[in-house]
Amino acid sequence: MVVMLILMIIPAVNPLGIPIPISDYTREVYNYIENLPSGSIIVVANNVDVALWPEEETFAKALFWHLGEGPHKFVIVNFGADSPLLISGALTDINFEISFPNKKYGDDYVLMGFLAGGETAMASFATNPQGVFEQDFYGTPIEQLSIMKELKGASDIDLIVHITGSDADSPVRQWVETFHIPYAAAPTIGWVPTYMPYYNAGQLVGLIAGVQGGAEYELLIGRPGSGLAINDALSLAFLFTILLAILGNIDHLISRLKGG
Amino acid sequence: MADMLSTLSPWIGVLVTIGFWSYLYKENPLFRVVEFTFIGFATAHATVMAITELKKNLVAPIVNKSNYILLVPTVLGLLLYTRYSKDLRFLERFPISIMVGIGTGVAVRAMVRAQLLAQIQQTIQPGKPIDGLIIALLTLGSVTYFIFSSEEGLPKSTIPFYNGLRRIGRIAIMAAMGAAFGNLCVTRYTMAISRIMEAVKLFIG
Repeated sequence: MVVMLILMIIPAVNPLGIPIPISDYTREVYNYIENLPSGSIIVVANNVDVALWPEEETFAKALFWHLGEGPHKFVIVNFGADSPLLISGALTDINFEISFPNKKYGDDYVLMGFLAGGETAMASFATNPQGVFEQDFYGTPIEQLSIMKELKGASDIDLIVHITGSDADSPVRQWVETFHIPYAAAPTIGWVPTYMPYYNAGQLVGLIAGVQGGAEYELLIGRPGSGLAINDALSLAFLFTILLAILGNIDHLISRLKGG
Repeated sequence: MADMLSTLSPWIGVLVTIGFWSYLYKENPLFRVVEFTFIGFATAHATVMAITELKKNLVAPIVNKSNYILLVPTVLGLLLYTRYSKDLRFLERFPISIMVGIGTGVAVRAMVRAQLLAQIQQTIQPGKPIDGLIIALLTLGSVTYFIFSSEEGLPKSTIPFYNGLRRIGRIAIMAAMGAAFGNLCVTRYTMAISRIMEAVKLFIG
């Protein structure tokens, strides 16, 4: 326990910079955004709760940094009750307004509140994005947000980036197969196996796999940050876990040989 | 006040984390305090969010824009609470049936294409025959593993094949569960690491 704690603290104090390869599916998300025509509208959908946020925060910040530097507009929609606060925290942490003064709130980006209803809400949003909200997260009436006037239906959405702590079935059924919106998923690592079949079937334009994907994205945008430090700590922790598993097995084998 | 709160909140965060982890040693009053505080905050947050959303998306449109159609879902929502009355309980069936009906309808319309046809097409891609064969074999084996009826009715010559398929299925399921457990460990480790980093940032800067 103490050793594990020390191994996790070391990279926090002094990041080791253990190299990580950038996977194809992370690169595909980055490239897809880079290749979108200027002024495209990207929807950042979020349904991660507080408990899983540490895994997704890295990618969320890196994505906003990427979107801030790029020529696109983005609309943040939340399908989890905790999500609006978390995502607004990520925007605040990177000082979005100050870092990107050319991006005007309401014209270039907007944070919508929580949309209840799960899969039905996903379908409703794709059918009529203006109809499902009366106000944004801060209480501004939707009529005063010019970006929302451009978003009349699914055909106006050029990409959905889905930061999620849930399975792939609902978004793929609705956004991909029903409304034919290009869809990139950023699930927490536990859900990645459920997304792989859809990715392999070409239903996703790319995939960001948890905190590792977030760290890879940091490298792609040229802003290494907390994701890489977390990956260093994860690598050390897992090496120690593997060592313990091997020692445990050796101990078990010796006991069996001794007839224990 | 806001400045003081923003200064204090990381320290409170670290204290709460230590409080929760103190359970690893043994049950103690600090753990109890942070546990109940957490539950209280979570409930309060959920309640405030629900009221805020109702104000924004229900009350405001009805009062300001005379959008009276919203009274229909309001009534349906209120009918859910009739379950607390023995005489009126039957009324809750209406909103539930509408929710289930719409939910199922919305989900089913794309289910076949999204979750069946596209996956089959991907599995039998001509360019990757070995991959497809392995996936098909593991899928068949996993499904066979869950056939709980006896092998007695089977022709004798097929029993070794049937048992072999079940064995392959068991290995596939164990591999999948191992991978799932590994992924779960990553999630839990990440949570711990993010809390540790927060504390280290606070103490060391």
